[in-house]
Amino acid sequence: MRGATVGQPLLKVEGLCVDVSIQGGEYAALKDVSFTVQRAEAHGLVGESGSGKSLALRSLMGLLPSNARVSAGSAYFNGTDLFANNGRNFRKIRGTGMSMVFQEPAVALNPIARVGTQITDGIAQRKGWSRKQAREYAVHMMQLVGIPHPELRVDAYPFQLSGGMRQRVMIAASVACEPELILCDEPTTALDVTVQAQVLALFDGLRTELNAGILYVTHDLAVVSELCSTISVLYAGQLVESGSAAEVLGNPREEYTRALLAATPRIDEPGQRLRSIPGTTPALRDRPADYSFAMRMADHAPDSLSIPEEH
Amino acid sequence: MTRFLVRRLGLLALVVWGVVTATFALVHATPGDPARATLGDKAPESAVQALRAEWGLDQPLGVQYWHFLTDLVSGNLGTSFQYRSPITALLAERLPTTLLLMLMAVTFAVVISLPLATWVAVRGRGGSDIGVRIFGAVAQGTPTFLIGTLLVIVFGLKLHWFPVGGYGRTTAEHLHSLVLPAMTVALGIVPMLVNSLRASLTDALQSDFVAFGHSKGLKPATVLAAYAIRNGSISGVTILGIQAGVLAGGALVVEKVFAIPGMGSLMLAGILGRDFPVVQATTLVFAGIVVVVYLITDLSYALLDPRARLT
Ligand SMILES: Nc1ncnc2c1ncn2[C@@H]1O[C@H](COP(=O)(O)OP(=O)(O)O)[C@@H](O)[C@H]1O
Ligand SMILES: [Mg+2]
Repeated sequence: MRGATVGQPLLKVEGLCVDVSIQGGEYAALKDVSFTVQRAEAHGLVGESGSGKSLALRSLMGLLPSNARVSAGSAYFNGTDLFANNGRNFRKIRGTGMSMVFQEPAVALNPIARVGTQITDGIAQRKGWSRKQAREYAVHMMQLVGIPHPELRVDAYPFQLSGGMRQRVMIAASVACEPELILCDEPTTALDVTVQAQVLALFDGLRTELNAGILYVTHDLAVVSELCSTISVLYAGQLVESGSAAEVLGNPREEYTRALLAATPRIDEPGQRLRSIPGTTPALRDRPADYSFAMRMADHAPDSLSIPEEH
Repeated sequence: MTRFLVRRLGLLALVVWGVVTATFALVHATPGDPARATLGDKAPESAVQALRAEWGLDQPLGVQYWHFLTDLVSGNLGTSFQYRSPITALLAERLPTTLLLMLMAVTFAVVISLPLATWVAVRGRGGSDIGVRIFGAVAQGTPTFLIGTLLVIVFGLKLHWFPVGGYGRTTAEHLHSLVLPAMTVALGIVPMLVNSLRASLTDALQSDFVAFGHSKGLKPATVLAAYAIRNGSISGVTILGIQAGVLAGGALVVEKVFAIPGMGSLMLAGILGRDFPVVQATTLVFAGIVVVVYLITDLSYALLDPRARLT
């Protein structure tokens, strides 16, 4: 197996803390987050919008926005300390070791470069390929991710393709170097249900064929139950619960996980009533230091909405 | 693309007609008789009247305008009152000088602005950013002739690197003489160019597509050039188009300051000598230059940004 050491996890994240500075103040966006991803395993990182999923992925790629930083914790990829060596370790690992599928292909693809070029520029640079070689490989990769008539689309620009096709291009670009770990940031949010199912099948295929690990970020438990064998549940930057998917989804220990489950449509139980979670995850600046899900529920408890008694 | 061109060319014709008509009106509304100006104060009135008749100045204004337009369309720009030679010949002599001056000015402006803006954008907020902004504000508020005079004092009179005036005879001498004038014009548009490039490069550097470029393991220099700068510099092209008028106006003033025998000095001589045909022709050519620069920047925009080719 590629670069593998027996018994060593592909990715091991321990005590990860990410701080964001907003108008001079520092706010903790991720607090003490730990999880591992094994080879050929899909791990789901689940949470509502604002829980810090994207920041977690970006910190692992060394691509945090300029006002965010890793303030504590460690991340080891195949035993390499990602945060050591002043960020230089990322450069060796990006592309071939880890790659990332971004949430919004509409903004994550370079708007003025041809999609074929964007799929292969990483691997072509590494291998010193000619334009022709790269183009052939781009067509091959586009075929692999299920883009019909790739030879007609390889020279297209992103804006000329549909959302689903753009997301496939993004996936093709991310797996072009056959990475050992693929980080996925809600890659199916922008897609309709049928395309979503196809993309999930695609990831599952990559997992088994490339023996790749997948860290799959989503707010959708239905997707997780289909793809992932282990999951971590994140709320407002904190890890609430983690374990095997069957365990966590079948017998959730935490109230937040139960609330998420109750809000997720189930394929096996059509027509059931969904209970959406009241309120939203508060913005970073509005979270007390000891913020928890229980506080949100207390704020939205039925009696707190009652009309004050008249005297 | 063809429709794009046809529309722009139509607009060009309209603009040129407007400018030509406005110039005609202005020239004829300005007090002063060209025949009197040519013959001098002591010439007898009969001689002046004869010259006016020869030049057609005794005819009604409408008739003069009609002759002027029909001559223009047939490519006849008339004869200079002062130089007593066809204006096309005068232009053929002087136009290349002005075009060379403007080309050098644009080149200098881009060569100064792009690296400066990139440097500031990459370094982010801080000393360099503030420094460049202050420099920009000061430079933008300084008139062209003042910048020109300063350059003459430092690089001409003190350091003797470049001639302080004149145009020389060989091509090498021409180029050498044009360095200071071109730099003067360039510095007039550099502040705005740097500002706009800095803003768009900063945006590009923080964009998802640049993060995506890094995530593929591309060399940082490649991401900077192929992703950030290529996208970020599109706005610079637009700014150059907007500044076409400033460029032409700068050339006009600077030719006077540095005694460069180009279109600008021809035009000024025409105005001072009440040489109507020369004033009209040079205005026409300057307007043409501005419109053509617009057209070129429009076309480069379409070349740089595939999304613009559709409209
Ligand atoms: N660059 C940033 N500047 C300020 N706040 C940010 C920035 N990035 C993320 N945040 C905030 O951090 C929290 C987590 O964001 P994110 O990781 O994008 O959540 P998720 O991907 O789970 O929706 C949110 O409250 C978001 O508003
Ligand atoms: Mg997100």
